[in-house]
Amino acid sequence: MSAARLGLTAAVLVAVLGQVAVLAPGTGGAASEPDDLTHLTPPPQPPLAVIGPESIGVLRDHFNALADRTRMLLLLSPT
Amino acid sequence: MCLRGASALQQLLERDSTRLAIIVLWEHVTVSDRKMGIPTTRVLARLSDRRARQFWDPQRVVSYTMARDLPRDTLASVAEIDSTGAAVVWDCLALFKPGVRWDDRFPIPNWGGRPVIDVVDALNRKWGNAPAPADTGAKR
Repeated sequence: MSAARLGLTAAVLVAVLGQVAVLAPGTGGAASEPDDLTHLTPPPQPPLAVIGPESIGVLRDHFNALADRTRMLLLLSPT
Repeated sequence: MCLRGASALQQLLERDSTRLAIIVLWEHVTVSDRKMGIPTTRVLARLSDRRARQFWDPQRVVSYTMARDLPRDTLASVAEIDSTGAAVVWDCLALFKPGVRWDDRFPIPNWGGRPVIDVVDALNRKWGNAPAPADTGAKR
């Protein structure tokens, strides 16, 4: 292998390794943490339920089904 | 602010073992919220109490319903007025006594307020060493 070709190979390798380092978790790169891609509630809670104009009854039914106890309602934004 | 309040509330709930149901509604309010999309596992973990059920309300249906149905003085304790003059119910906590039902109109909470981080402080004082969430003297 010529010196020029060896130098080019080394340059490509450095560039590739640099990219890998940027994407690797914990290196300060822009990659998402695994938890940022999922929407899982903590066990044993039921899965996250989506409500909208047509499905607000699901929430109302849940509220009324628990009428034998005190209910704490929270409205929060995720930031 | 909301996430700080959620974490503070979780710490309070860990010291409480009463028969309580916790309903958590996540909604977009700020520009930062809209960038986030659906609440992530990391966000949902802020409220890990086993008595909780979590909902995602991307269209703020519950906020609109509460703004429509609640009396003005009650709404003032749980809502913020946005730049258009509309009431946005968020970063708030409301307690409902046993027996209260949601029928034609959204029920009036027995106690509540905002922001949650401040309400948690009030709850800490209210419950003290003998948590009794059914005893609901309205903050409003």
